[in-house]
Amino acid sequence: MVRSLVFATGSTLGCFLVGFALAYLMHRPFRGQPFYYTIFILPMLTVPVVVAYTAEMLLYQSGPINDLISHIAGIEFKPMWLTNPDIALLTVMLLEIWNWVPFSFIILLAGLSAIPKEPIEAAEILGASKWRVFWEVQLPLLRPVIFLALVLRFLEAMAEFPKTWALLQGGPGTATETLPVYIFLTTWQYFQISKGAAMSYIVMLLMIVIVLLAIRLLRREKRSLDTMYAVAGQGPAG
Amino acid sequence: MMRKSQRRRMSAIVRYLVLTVWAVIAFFPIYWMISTSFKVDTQWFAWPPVYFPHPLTLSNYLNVWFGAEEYAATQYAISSQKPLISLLNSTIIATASTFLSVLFGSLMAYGVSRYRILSEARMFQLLMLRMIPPIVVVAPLSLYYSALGLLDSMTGLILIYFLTTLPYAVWMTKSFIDEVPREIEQAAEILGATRWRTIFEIVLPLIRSGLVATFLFILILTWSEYLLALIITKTQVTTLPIELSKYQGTTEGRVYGRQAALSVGITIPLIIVGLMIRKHLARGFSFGMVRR
Repeated sequence: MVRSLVFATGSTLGCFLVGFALAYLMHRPFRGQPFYYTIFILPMLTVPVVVAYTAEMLLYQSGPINDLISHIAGIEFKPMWLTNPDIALLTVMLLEIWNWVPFSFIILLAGLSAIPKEPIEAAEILGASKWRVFWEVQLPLLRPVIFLALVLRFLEAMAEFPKTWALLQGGPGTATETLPVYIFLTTWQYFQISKGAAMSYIVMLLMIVIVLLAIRLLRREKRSLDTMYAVAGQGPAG
Repeated sequence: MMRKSQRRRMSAIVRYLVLTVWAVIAFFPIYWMISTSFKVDTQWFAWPPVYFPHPLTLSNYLNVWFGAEEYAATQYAISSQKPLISLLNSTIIATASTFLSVLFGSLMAYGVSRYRILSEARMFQLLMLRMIPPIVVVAPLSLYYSALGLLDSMTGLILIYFLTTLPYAVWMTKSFIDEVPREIEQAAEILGATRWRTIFEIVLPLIRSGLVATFLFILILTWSEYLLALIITKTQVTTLPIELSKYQGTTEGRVYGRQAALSVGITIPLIIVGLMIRKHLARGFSFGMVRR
């Protein structure tokens, strides 16, 4: 449970930060933008199971990732990504981030580009620095989209199963037993079906609470977004 | 003046630098997968790692996909493998469920868009279908399915994929239908067209590109689904992700080249599809929150 929360929170924040940075750097057209966009969405198009197996190829102890990092950093760098219980969860988290940064990136990029130009120009004319425009104009206007990116990503991360399972089956030890993996193990590996069902039930109730909160949040944000578009006179309402 | 342009150049350089670093991070695993699929078996996990496979070989592909003559003889063979059949299964299942999803999704979206058959609150509750982790429903689902005889059948998978992707279909097609002016439909009605004709011959053709985008978007989801397929299918029907996961249990050691060859085969269709609809991805993900 705690593991799942850590995993979901960590990967959500990771995805968000990287995605946001990339989106911010790319929200104004520049040369090569389509190229970067194309490269950036590739990880998302990779099937999760494929991600898991490719990760296995990349991350074994004397594998290419460690080799590359050692070369770049100039020191011997050999963590056991997959077999050290202390960092296995981190490994899966990094994978999740790699896999889903494009999601945050796409949403935030679309959101940033959809912000009406007028408030930004107005602020610039009034002498606001780039920094202040960002914090006081763009960020507040982007809030609904930010919520969306965080909420959806968090829920998906809570449910993440294929990568964790295909890569580590909850191991080493119990280091990567997130909720879905744990339930899966109980039900289909140890065949304690009633225990698995009971846990499913609890998780489902919990998730329903989270989802309802999330939906309420999203609805409120959508309304404010609709108002914004209506004021800016863009797009049809609804 | 000079300083300002210099600063602008600096920031451009920094931007390219950051973007390029991430591009490398994003692309490297994919590159590694592709390059490994062309490596001969001594290079799969050689030290130091082989970044540019020198003798390129197609044997991995031939082995995995077509079961070339050495297939059965090598220690790498996995007896239960039939990737071409899985490919066929995956294609049928993904296409059929996606088709159903888009068909019913767009009809529902039409109702929502024009007649508000679902309130906004209901539309959001529809999303719950998607937001509840599938792991909590697979146990009861598999019990139902075994009672109905749908376990290990294509129909079963198609139905469940249809159901789980429906919210996406409704939300996405709704955002396209919202953009069709109502006057066109009214004109059609005045000319005597029935409601069905209006929908199928006016509205849906008008949002054709949107429908294609929705279709491909959902295809991506169903193509890569793993958990449900893992539990619902056993031996009769396997999809490609499951086929790949068969490598997990092999004890003969790591058969990276074969894995990679299979992975590339699974991934390439998705990448093609994804790049085709890259402009519409934001719409699919954001449930009408972001529009352009």
